[in-house]
Amino acid sequence: MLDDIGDGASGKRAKSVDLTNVLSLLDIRRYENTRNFSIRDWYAALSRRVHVKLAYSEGVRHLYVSRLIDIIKDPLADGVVDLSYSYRKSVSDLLSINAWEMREIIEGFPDVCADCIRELDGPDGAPGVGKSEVVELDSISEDDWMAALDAVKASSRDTSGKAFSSFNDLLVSGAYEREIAYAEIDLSAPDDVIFQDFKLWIEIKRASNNFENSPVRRFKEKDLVRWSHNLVLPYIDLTSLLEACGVYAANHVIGEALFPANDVDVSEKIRKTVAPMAKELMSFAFLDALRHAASSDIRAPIERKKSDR
Amino acid sequence: MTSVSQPDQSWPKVPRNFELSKFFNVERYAVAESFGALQWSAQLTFRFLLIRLLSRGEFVANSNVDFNYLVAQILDDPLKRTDQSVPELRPREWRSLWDVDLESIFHSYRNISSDERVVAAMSELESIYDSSPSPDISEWPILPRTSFYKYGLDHGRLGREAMISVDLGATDERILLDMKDWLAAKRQMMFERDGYKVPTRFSDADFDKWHRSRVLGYIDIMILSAHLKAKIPLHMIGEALFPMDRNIDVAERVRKVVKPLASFLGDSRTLDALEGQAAAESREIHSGMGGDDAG
Repeated sequence: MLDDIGDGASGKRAKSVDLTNVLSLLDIRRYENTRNFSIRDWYAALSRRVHVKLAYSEGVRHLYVSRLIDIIKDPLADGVVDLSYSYRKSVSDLLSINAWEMREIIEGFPDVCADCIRELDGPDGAPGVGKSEVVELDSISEDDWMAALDAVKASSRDTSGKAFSSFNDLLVSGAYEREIAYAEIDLSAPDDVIFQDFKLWIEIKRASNNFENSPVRRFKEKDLVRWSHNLVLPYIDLTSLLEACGVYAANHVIGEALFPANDVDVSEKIRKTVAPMAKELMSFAFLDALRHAASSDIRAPIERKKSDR
Repeated sequence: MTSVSQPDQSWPKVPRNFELSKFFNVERYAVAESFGALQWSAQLTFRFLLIRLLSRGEFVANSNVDFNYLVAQILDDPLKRTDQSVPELRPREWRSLWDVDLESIFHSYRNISSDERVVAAMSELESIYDSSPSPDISEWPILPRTSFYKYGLDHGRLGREAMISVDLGATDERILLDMKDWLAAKRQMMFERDGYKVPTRFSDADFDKWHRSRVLGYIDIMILSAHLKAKIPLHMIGEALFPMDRNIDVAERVRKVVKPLASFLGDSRTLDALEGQAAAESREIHSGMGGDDAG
């Protein structure tokens, strides 16, 4: 039977496959241990399934089939999860290479470059405008005293030009990654002020970067419990299996397969709860957030550990 | 050259019959009891700018600024300049954090692109990527993965401003925790570099202590001293600042408490931090956590 998996991906339904056969492949008992899953376990399990979906959408049939078969055989196997990338913290110093690459992006905008050069060198190569912190006070009158102090404190930048527009806005306006945003921090400010400004900045970036499903919330114990109780993993696997075999199943059929002892309207439970949950969990934005949470769980636990239970 | 806590040693002492009470009245500072970050920032900034100008003797000699008037004004009505009347403090325009702008990158790149070691390292990295599409970062040459902040410090930049990259894919909670770690590491680096610890926040207890120490009055007496180019003895300052404290050695109190505090407050890093807090508090007042254009 497992050999027939994948026919659906090629647009046809295998003759030997019917709904009963497909449903029989899924052994719900194999998913019981999701009750003990940590964030990292959830990330690993969902990543495996996203890779199956990727192979499906990219038409890489042999990969798609082999990965799906592996999942059905051993749904909670600890897949190869590369969290090494995630050991990088969500807030980190700009690296030299970042500055190098950022400049290359800016060079794609000649008008911005011209503005930056003007800002640095001034017109006709004269010293840059608005850069001097030295204010000539010799000629000021008593009446101009406060204005002169104001000038001292203003101290340098005329930030009205294009050269001082946001690099993040440039990224958002172009076909560049929007997940990473760059900030400059004045370390002379007290910690509390920096945090206050940082929180506000994050809020603005979340909105302006059009980064949908931004994971503002943290993952809590109750989230993990909810995913497990609603059998979201077997749902994902069963629907993938049905898709792979080219077999259609109504929500009530899927519901009865997943929740055989449940008195509630299982069809509604699938439609209103499980299916939307699966869609959310399988999104890249969600997985990205889970990956960060999983890696931080390793670096500095903020969630429960299995040993705590 | 003078500083607020250290009069020029070449100055003579004021004459024996000098009467500080003719110039200075500590009661005029009573309202400072209710000062917050904004008012303290305004009062201190103004005074230290004036001291900076007074210390430039040559400049003063050639200046049109009427220092007699300014010093007299400060001593006569020392707390006149509050947040409403101090145009040099525009707190809402000050931020501790903003988007990296294009000029900063352009300017920064100019430095690293002329560094032959960086150019060579970038070229080496390109070769590594040619032979392996996703090499581990540990295989990279050191320079491309060097913190740009550290690179700047190594090349003479002051290090007041640091650039960060933030992965918006992480949860807010994780980002804030990582930010906390990042800031702590930077603070440690700064402390090891110049021995100054930027305050976490100035509290009401700090402001109360500053008021009780009569530090503004002390600074104004130092301004008078600089203007007169004459040293005023500590006991005379102590008696002027603490006229009611008959049972303690007020000169010692000035030497051990007030003078070091004035020195701390006169440090440009303290003033910057205080201004930062004043700006943040001002934004909160004006727009209820306002921050109209942080991004």
